[in-house]
Amino acid sequence: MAAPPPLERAENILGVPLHRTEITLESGEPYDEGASYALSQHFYGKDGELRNAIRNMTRFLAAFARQRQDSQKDAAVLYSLLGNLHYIAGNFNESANCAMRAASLNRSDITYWVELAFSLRALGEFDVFEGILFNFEGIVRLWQQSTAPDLTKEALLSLIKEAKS
Amino acid sequence: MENHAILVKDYVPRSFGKEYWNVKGPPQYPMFAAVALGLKPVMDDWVDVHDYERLADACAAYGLVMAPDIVFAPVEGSKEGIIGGRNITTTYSRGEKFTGQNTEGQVHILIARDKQAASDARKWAWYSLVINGRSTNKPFVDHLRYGKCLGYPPCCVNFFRTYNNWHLFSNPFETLKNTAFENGNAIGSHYCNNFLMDKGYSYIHHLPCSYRCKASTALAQELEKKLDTLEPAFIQTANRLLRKPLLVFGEQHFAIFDGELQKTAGGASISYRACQYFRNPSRPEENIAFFDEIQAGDALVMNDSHILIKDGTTTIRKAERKKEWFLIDFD
Repeated sequence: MAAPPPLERAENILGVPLHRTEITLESGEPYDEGASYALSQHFYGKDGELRNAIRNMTRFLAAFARQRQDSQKDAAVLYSLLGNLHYIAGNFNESANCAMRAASLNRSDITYWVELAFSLRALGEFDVFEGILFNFEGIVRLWQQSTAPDLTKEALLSLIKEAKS
Repeated sequence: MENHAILVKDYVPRSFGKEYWNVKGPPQYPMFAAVALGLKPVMDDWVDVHDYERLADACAAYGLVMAPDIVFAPVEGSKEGIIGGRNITTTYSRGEKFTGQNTEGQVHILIARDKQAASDARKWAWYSLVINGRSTNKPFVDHLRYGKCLGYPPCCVNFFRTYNNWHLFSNPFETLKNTAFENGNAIGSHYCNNFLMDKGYSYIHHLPCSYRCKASTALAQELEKKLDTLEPAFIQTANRLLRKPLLVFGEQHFAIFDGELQKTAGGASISYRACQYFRNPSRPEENIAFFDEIQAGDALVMNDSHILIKDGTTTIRKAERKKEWFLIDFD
């Protein structure tokens, strides 16, 4: 029997119903905070449960990334969910790293850029936050054309600079 | 009824917080006082870009600092075509970076006793502004963090967590449903009456979890006690206005009466000498069409399905009642 889809497995691990669809620049849809909302409602203020959820998701994601290197979009969704858990826990460096990893694995979905922007805002990096939001489409398009393998903080700052110019 | 007097007039401070009031006027005067008196950690506010420095000076006079966030710039036209337009209210703003050289709009600011507290609060203070045709909501958990930062009681933050969705819930109605009724008393405590906050008369600036919330009452009483020694005329005016009965239509949308509420088995009624209508500026589509008749009448009866407006013994209007509308009095 085939394993259930990764999002379904994540739902089982976290005990939260989750809904994710890819949101692109072309779709004309805004960032969907549905998953972030569901996870916040379930885990905010429950530190022990949240720590367990982060540990279990991290393990699941590591195994998934090893076994399913062909499924980058699914891995991106899982990184995003893990990032959301870190964000709720107040681990903003980790949530920013997850968002950058997700944006590296799937360059179409704008969700990860919004998650990255708010993680950086939570770290007090207001200029970078505004740099992303005020140049949103430009940055996403530049990243889609970029040949860099991974989105890093340095790459992000270059994208903002280039999008502004 | 012939009396069309304005019930709620602006209070002008005689001394405490006058510098703030001179720039900003009444809306958040009590919250400024609460931060200045060390009763509230942080407040957020908006100031015209041209008045930014004046407000910074007013804050400094009370040992407070401001952290600027972003400029809410005016927008003309409908929200159609905006990505995420469903998540913003009918009247919305365009986001513009604060440069100190902006020519129009209101700067969103955080006011606190130290820079760190203001900057920390700013992290969670994002509002869904439109930037380049796109509106972006903040992560939901930021609402909860922000409420905590602003010193809101945990019970009220938790209540907000459940009923924050204005597409699904009328927050005041949910608060009413969560209020334990005490026989022989008014429905709510004036300490938890936040309806007049935009006119500067409220001891709290959050949506209380109940109109008898103990934590909100404690915060309000602390502010009342301290401000009474510095600006007693404000306290007298606020306590008088905050006890007046209201007909509530929704958030920031209500009528206030100079009159008395009577509770009956099938509903409630108000006989009144004067009344005043407050509309929610963000949701003009919710304005009611029959306020002129309320003003022309002298009594109002609310039952499960209708509002009857009377002038003497004559019913001058029978309006269908939405279930989330309610009458409330305060002691």
